[in-house]
Amino acid sequence: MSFRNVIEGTGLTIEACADVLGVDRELFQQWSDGQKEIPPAYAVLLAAILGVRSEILLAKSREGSVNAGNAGPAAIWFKFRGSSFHDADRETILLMRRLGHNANQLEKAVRGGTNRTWEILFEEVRKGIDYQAAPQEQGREAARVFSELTQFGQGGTGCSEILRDSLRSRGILLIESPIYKSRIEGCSFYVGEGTSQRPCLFVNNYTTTWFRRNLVIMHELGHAIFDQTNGGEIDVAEDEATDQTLRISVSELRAQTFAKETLLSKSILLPTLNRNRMKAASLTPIQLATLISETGIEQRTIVEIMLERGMIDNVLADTYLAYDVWGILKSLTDHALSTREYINKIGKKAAAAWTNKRFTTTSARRLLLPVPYVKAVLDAVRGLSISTGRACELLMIDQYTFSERYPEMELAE
Amino acid sequence: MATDSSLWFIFDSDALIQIFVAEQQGLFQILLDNYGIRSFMMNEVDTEIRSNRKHGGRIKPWLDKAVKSGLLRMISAGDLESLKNEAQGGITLADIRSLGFDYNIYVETGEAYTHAAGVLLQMPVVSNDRKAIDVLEQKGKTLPPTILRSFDLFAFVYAEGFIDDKAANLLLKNLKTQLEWCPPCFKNASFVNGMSMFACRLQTSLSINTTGSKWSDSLYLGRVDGQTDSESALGDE
Repeated sequence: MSFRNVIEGTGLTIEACADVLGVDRELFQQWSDGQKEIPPAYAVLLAAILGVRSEILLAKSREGSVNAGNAGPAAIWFKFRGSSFHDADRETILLMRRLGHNANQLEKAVRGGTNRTWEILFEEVRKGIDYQAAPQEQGREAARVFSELTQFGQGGTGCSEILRDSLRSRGILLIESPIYKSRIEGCSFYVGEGTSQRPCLFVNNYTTTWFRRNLVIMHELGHAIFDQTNGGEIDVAEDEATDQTLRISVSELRAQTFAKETLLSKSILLPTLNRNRMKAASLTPIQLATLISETGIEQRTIVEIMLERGMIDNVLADTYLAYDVWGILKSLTDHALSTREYINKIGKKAAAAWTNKRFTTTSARRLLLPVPYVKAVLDAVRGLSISTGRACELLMIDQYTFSERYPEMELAE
Repeated sequence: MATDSSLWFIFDSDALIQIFVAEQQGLFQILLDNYGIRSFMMNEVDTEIRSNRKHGGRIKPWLDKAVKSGLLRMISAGDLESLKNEAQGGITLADIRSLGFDYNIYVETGEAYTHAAGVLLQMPVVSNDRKAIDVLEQKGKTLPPTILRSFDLFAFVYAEGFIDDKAANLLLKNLKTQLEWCPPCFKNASFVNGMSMFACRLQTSLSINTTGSKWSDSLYLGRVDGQTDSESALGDE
């Protein structure tokens, strides 16, 4: 397998690979053609992103190929082949894998090692599962153990508000970034090199609501817990053309049940209804909006869950689905506001702290970095754990963009 | 750093970019011909310069020219081999890359490998990133014996009369036009006026090259006897 073969094996273009490394395209082409040798520092980085051994990339291309056990790129790239996915999808995955590598590097600089708390949690959840049981049963049991260990849903309250911080604090990489015109709703796979691998959950936030994304996050988490050996799972937004077999596969059913049960188990739903003096069989639009606001789950999923649990019938389900709750919801929670509405509410000055300061710029395709990650990088600069130049690499921006975005941080002596 | 007649300057990308932006690539020839100093960079630095979004396109031809002429070299196994009988003998590219890999956790790729080379080869490094130095010091990492800034070189060639007032002021103007970093004393002054306030880390001595015990101490350069033939000094180019 040669340098060029590895790139072709991913379905990526030379340009995309060059961009994500922040390397001049002409120079990258020369590496690929074997005219110049790739510096080991870049070979290691590219290998980690593509999921190959760096020896393959370091072998001089003039030798044609290297016998490295025919080690091809990571399994996730095979899943992104075919006409269902576009360059945008593949390039976004590439950026995410780079982010995964960067997150490991940041933790090494700041903590001296990577956060692997997720590993113990996943192991505990998997331990209690009967893999011969129905997928829904597996998902339910997994959700029960997970909620117990993480204290999700404790006190009968929804966990949507804390789930992002909670997952990230355990070393799980969670990214919500737009991929325009993509069918991908979410996906999960492992990023990082060798023993530093960590789960990465991605949710496409292009024209989706925060309420929908909570479900997608937990669904992808379900995949990350159970389907690690598959090389990753991709979930596309459902429409008429969606393959039915995708919806009914064991892993999909298990992940979906896990997501629903974690976010809205009986021990969350019933106390929430009681606390607000509501009855599932006679919800008004205001009450349904309150339920959405308090649990952080979208209307469709709440209705689906109540129907599955026999709390309402099909007629009532249709009635609830027909409620227009969005206007009410906006008065109950900021999560229902559009970005523009939210900025108007908090004021442009407050919004300026993070607006347009999180997108990567080294490649044509841009990734919206998580706020906690950007904050952690800047804190590492302030704490002298990393230099500003290194911060640029970790944020995937150039130094000029860094100076513009964060003028309070001097670049040079 | 041991006193030594075969001195290398190992350049980081930010310093090289400034040298090219200031159109002072003649520096490499001056250093070689008059002080026997050979200019080097790591392969990673070459990549960074070519990939620089703001200046890369403009600089590439000059960089190619400097590399082709042999005045600026990428450190190779052969170059390290040539040091084998001297104080820095026995260091391999793999040693530099291993240390660079460690430094790269904390500082940018180019400067990580540049500092690593400077440390292992006990050669001066030219890098403008003070934050990177602070970070490496904070992490208890060893630093090269001497760290110069691009302005130390500019100031040195000016003080030694290799460039005149007009050229010096022009180089500063070029840098300011490109919004490049410059030491505070030059920010609101001409190069000539700023020089009186600038503590240059590069000085001349009567004969040998020598430095102090801290990376920021001045490095004293001795003139070589007669003119060094650049081609013969460059070996296997």
